[in-house]
Amino acid sequence: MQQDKHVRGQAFVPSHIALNGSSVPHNLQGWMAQLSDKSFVWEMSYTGVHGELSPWQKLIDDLHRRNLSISTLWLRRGNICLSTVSGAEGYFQAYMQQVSLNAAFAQDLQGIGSVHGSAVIVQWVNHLGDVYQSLEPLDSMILHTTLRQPNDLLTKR
Amino acid sequence: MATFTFKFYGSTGPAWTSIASNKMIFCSSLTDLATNITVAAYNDGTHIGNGTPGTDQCGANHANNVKYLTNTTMSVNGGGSENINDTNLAVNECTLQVNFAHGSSVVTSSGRLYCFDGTTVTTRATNVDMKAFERGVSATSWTTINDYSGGTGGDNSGQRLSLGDHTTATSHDFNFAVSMSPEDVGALNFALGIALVYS
Repeated sequence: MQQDKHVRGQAFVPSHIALNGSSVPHNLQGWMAQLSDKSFVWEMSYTGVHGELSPWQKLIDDLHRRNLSISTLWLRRGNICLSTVSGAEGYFQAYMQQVSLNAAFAQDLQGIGSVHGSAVIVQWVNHLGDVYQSLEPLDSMILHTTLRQPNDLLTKR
Repeated sequence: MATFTFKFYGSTGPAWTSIASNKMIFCSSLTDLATNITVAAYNDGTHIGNGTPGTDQCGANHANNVKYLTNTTMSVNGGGSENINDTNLAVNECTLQVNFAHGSSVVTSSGRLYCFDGTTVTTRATNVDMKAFERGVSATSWTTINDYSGGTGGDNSGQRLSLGDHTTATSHDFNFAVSMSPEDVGALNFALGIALVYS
């Protein structure tokens, strides 16, 4: 595990996987999770329905509703594929966006991670395929983890 | 698709208006963006310019000016000293509004506002002292986000303003007061950066 240093990710997983009678799109971009019932779910791009919950927030709600958990989480961006450890206490997925005023700097990353006690180990990948690893406090990232309660005050709808 | 928009409260209306590709300019006049700030004093004017400073792009109404007086007080548009808090600083009196929009409803956390040199986000702006305040999180004091001589600034832990988390929504507004002071003479360049995590 490297800290504050970028590394190149692995090549992507096999291009076509049969899952519960359906197939993971060979051109999948985003996260994919295997659930405790052995099924797979993956990120779909924005459908155009304004205001719908993000795919990750929908998944968190669904996990609570069906009393399921994530077994393993993957992320594919471009040709980079990252994976988390299996059997963690919880899982994290989020985007990080950074922009500036009076300068041209901007950065867009997507990350996945796993919860270990009060920390979240996150792997971020940017649009160039550079991978960064960081250790984040759980309390600042809990909204993006499967430990978030669907009816908590902050995310109550 | 996520988008950020930097806005000032001014122009026609006045109303929150995109700064677009213009720059935020701090000076010593509510009406003239070309008036310099005396070294060690804080801004008496905030404007939108198309250069450094270029010509004024504020429109019919100039941008709000919120001046740092002490760590807990401010002056809004030349008014008397007030404690800086959510009661005394109305949303429409803020210097800067940053809107984060997404087609899906998302939560945000780990937001941060920082000042940097315009090139490297972890490098503080030269000869600039800058204070920032986020409205809407029950804060009661300014936060130093750049102190050139003191070695503070840039996107570094403990040297930036941490932002409040936001509930699920497609549009998130972050409202700020920002005030700056030069440590030396000459035109000073700075940039403001904002970052957040969302899902």
